[in-house]
Amino acid sequence: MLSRVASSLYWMSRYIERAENVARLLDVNLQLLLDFRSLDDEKLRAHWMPIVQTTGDQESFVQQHQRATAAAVADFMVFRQENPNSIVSSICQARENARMVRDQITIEMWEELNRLYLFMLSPQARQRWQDSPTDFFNEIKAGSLQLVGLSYATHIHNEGWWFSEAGRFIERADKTSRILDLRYHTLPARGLPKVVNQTDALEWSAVLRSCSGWDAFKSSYGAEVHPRHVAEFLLLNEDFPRSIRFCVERLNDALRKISGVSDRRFSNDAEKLCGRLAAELQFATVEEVFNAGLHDYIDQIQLKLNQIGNELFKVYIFHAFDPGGAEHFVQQEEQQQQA
Amino acid sequence: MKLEILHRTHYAYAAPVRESYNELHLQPVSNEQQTVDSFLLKILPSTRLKHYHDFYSNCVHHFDLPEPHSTLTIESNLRVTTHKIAGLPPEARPAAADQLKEALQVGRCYDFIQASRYVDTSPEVWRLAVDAIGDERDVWQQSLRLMAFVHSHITYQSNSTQVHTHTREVLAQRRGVCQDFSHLMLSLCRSLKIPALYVSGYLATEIASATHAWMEVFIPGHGWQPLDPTHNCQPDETYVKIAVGRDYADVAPIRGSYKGTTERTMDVTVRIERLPG
Repeated sequence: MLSRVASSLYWMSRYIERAENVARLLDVNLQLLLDFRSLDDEKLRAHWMPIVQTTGDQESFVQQHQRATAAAVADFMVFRQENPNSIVSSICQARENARMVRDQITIEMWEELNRLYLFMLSPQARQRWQDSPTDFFNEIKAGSLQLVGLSYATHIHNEGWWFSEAGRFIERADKTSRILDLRYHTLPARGLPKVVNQTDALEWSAVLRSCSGWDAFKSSYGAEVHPRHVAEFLLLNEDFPRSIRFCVERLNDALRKISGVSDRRFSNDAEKLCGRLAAELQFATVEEVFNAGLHDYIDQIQLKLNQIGNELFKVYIFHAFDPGGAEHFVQQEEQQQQA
Repeated sequence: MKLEILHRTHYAYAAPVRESYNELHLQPVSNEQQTVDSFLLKILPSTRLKHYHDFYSNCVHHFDLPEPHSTLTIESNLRVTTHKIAGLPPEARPAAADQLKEALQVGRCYDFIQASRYVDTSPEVWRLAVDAIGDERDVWQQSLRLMAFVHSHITYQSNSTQVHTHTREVLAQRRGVCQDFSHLMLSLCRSLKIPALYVSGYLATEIASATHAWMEVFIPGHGWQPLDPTHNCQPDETYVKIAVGRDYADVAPIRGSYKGTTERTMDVTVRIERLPG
């Protein structure tokens, strides 16, 4: 397959996953604000800026908006096309990439993605958002989940599909790590927090609900929300589909399926780094994570995921230009048929 | 006859080479004459093997090795059971030569009367063929006479030719190996418009160090009949067919290219063992 086709499939599913995760983030945090009695600028900033920071767009937000109100942040992260990480930008990019590989994806996938795109650019989107933000975000999430389902159920599981799986899981791991990192300023730099007050517990459960993990968490850990358990659940749980370990393991599978090499070996740097990261997550304990500092640990994971993404592109999509040197195209020696 | 065949090719390069792309014709067909019981292909350094079926229904494997490597080993392990199939008896006179015209419209014969990369149908070859068949008018008898002619006209001598030798060079020096014997036979048959194809395979003798080559002629009403010009005989169940084509270029066991040094060595091992049963 052409490398630009692989790249488009990868970015298409990566952008769809990004849109869904931003929607989750905003939805839960909007609901959280309803629980607070008094909101002043300081509280608003403390609440919203980490969210803006997760997408790394703090500077451009500060340039364009005065106060970090819910409306301002939501507008910035949902509807602003100038923000490359906003929901509308992600959906536009996903559609653009899908348009380039329309012959590879099924017609149902294209129609759903197109419908989502047209919805986002229509006045109905703003209207729905004003009427009920939760419904608006549910619309985005439902669209994205339908695309994930269509991809899994109707897209032939060939090499191209594994590239889109790789994009999806690398993005999901990255965004989950950012969601987990949201409340790091309430944690001590090293070691587990001693006391968890009610506000903190509420905020940590908001983190869980961002990832649709509240029910699964409750069944594993009970209703007491301690950051130790939340971190263990979202980082190291091997069965929860949005945990970072799960995503990295699926990414590992996808890379292996693309190259055909077995799990126990690697044939390029992306597989090497991904195998290492998967092994680290398989054999880490949550105490070690907090002793290193949750924020630092998550930073490292994000760096490694970036590296894996870059290596993936270097191996399959960007062919390094070779000035040549003393190298020619040589024909392999052939055997004469003699017996 | 049950046979177990190991075919290993080992390339060693003076410096690491990269971007190696190779196609293999190593998997034998299963037909009435032989049943492939098991076939295993191994490549080192390990890489993903893909395969497709080419225009002549041969199973072609292919793989690539983009990363630097200093050696390449391609090994096939084959277990095959060959069956005795009665071919045309040597005295038969099944088809007159003028029946060839109709035969050419049936089945895939067009490719096999044209010249190909190593086989030509020049006037000199045609004259040799006409002299060899004499006044024979039956296609099968003509083929047998051509085979006898090739066997007597060319001397078998290893290392007298190389893998890309063309038929006209073989005719000029009158020496060659089985690949050249078969190419010359194809040349003669095709110049008389007898459809003839090239077969690559193994011959189970005590000393086998490479693959063997023979050919098949098309006899109207009796299909493709195998002939071995190197030994002037009809192939029996000691012959294992791998692939067919117009000439060596279509069935080369290993063909490919890579980027790197031209200094390299190739070692080929073929071991054929007869199994009981």
